[in-house]
Amino acid sequence: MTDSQLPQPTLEPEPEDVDHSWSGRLRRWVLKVLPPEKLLPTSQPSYVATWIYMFGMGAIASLVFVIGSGAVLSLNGPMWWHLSPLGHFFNSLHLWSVEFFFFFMVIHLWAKFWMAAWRGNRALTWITGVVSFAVSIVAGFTGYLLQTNFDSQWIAYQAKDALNASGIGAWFNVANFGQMFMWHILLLPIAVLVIVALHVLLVRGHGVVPPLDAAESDSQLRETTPTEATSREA
Amino acid sequence: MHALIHLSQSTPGIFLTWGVFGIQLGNLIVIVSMFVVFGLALVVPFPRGAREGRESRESREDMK
Ligand code: HEM
Repeated sequence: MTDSQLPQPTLEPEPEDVDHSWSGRLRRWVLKVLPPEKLLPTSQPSYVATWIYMFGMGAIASLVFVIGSGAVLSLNGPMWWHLSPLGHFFNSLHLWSVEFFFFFMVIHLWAKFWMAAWRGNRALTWITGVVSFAVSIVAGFTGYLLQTNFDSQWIAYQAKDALNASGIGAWFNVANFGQMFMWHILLLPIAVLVIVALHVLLVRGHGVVPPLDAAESDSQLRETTPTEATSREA
Repeated sequence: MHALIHLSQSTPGIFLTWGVFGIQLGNLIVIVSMFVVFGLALVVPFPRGAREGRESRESREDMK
């Protein structure tokens, strides 16, 4: 019996063993771009231990309160939130969570701008951030239209001219309360949640961006840049 | 409570103006506090858990 007749150890699966179904391909792709240790890491590089990295999480925490208080408002309806003390409280909770959401989001945006956090293939993270900012502004705007007071009427009638001038007003009609209500409580919350989920998954997939000067000073980066490590040792 | 709501909804907001530049007081407070919080986040020390403390000591050991 010659060597070639012996069964050879198969390290790689045979091509016919590879599952070509869409679910099989999707699973391989997901495990490649977002393996469990990247999706749910148990530690972060030392440079993440500063308050400036907390603002994205602050925005998420506020968003949880925005959605939660919004759900309570939906359960009970406008008579409740306009006329009862507890309703007023939840109405205010909703508004103030939104204030904090934008507060944290803007500081987060500044932080990522000054860190140039789009470096290292993170452009899509930045872009999903920009889109979440834009979509959140529209969500906030439609919320202000729902106050059923002179303030919301004023906002709607100021905005309609700009929207009509752009052409979108024929279809996105700020004077149509029912339509704005649906945008505010269904379409825009879904859009914000989807884009934020994508944003966070992208952050997890790429890992936190190293500070601009970290390649020089951070011991943890020596492993990832072997050429620099050897040049430093030399 | 109702008097408070009435007051908060019926007063026209305080506007500050410097020449061509004008801003509502509430908006100015929010913007200034965002700058303050941004600055504080850069300088206030971040609390370290026991595990991170140990790890960072170890990594300082490797640096030697
Ligand atoms: C809905 C609002 C947003 C939420 C909930 C959110 C959430 C997060 C979280 C949790 C992180 C990781 C931790 C951190 O560094 O804070 C992150 C990272 C990031 N965010 Fe946002 N973000 C939002 C909006 C934005 C905006 C408006 C921008 C910029 C236009 C942006 C750009 C980035 C970038 C570039 C990173 C990656 C940083 C890295 O890789 O280290 N985000 N975001």
